[in-house]
Amino acid sequence: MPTEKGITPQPQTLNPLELLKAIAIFRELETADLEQIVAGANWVRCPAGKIIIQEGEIGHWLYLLLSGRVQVHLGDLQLTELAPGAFFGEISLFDAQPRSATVTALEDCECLVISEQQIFQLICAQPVVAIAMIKVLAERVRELNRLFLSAEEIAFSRRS
Amino acid sequence: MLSAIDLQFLQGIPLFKDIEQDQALSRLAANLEEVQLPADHPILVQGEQDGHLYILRSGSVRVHLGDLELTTLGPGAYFGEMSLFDGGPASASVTTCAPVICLRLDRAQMGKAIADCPEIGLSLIRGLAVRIRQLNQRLSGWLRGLLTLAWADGQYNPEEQAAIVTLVHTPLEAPSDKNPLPPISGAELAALLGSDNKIAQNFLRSAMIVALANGTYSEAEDAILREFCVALGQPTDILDPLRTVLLSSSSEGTDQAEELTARQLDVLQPVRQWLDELEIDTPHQAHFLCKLIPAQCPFERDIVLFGRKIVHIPPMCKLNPLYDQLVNLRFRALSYLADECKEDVTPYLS
Repeated sequence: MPTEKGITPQPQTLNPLELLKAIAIFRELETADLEQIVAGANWVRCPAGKIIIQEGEIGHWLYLLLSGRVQVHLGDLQLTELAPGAFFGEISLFDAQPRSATVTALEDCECLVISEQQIFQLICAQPVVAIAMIKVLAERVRELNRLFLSAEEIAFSRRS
Repeated sequence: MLSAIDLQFLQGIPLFKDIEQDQALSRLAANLEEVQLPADHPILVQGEQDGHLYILRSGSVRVHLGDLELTTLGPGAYFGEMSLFDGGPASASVTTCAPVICLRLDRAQMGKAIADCPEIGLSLIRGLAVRIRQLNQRLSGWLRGLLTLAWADGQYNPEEQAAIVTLVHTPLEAPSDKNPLPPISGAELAALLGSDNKIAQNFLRSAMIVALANGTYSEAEDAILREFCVALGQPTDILDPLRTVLLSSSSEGTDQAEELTARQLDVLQPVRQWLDELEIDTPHQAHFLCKLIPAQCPFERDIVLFGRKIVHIPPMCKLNPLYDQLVNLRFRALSYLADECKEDVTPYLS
């Protein structure tokens, strides 16, 4: 059961399968696979303003955002805003370091929380999940690189 | 098909180290295409699509944006995975330093390889996770470094500082975490930016321009820039000439600038030359300069970086000994955008 920031599972209000189909990394999975994911996952609700993940803390959970929006930020510098269908918390899961940024609910949110072990098993059993996840992460790297370009290209080359 | 030696090589590279079955490794090896390339050969060109994952077998390549060097990769390193998976154009160019041998996979082969060995998928995910963390850290260090410099200037009163704190808050709904990014020490900055020389130099150049562009160069700014230089392992020579125009926070900046002697101006020559020699060769950089350097006396200006307003620049004073260089730099940036990029620069002219 997820213990990060004391979030406890809540009874679900919506059909989880319908919502799971909207998650980008699960798009190519069959209903039976999705049912299996839901069975092993926890459903949590986070009110607007709630810190879901705190930078620097240890956490072993992957969050799938089913409804509401969240903000990924460092202090008050927003890195990105995520909409339903996105996932977060994956960085710590895969590099085994403390949480790299803080995630705060901008609205009342519903998340499906999956354990580290579950996601590793899923990736090994369903390569389409791995490929979809790589695609999303590659886009995030691109987004961060773009943020940098304006500042970093200030390193002008000298005129010869 | 690759030789047994290549199987051993494959086992040794980080991307494939978790593959336990020899048979899976053999199947992977059978799909790898070997490419030999001469020195100085462009493998990936920024902005163009390629659609292969490259693994460096021997030799080395440099990753760069135009003339700006980002890093150098050696045997065992891989690149091209982002374009392969998200279908976007290459985010940087990769050019061979010396003759190289690469192994490559196209998108379909990569999909098959991951289906056959999920460990490859996990390795790629891990690699991207590490990069996202590094970029987050660099972004945070970079921004905090510039903010520290902006706040240190004696020209900023508490009201202005409070305004900056307000301005860096997200323009969207405020998060529940109200902590502004804290100032950063040289040691922290070095830890966040990493040991890459190029990144350190890039940071210091933008920091120096932030310090110069507000029209004054204070003791506090000098102390912080010096601390950053030392912590990042960079020489402080370039800062020495600036000391001659140090404006103490207790005196009126313009009076001191007027008192500059011809000799002091002469000491500034290297800095002036440095600014004059800056080459503008990318639109990002030109936009950054146009935003950074105020249009003319007496208009005030805000610096917007990473989509955040980070500092308010007071009116540029014509008595700033580097006024001509900064105005010229801005003019060249505008000309570059208008002539080379065919962009509409009128927003910068108002």
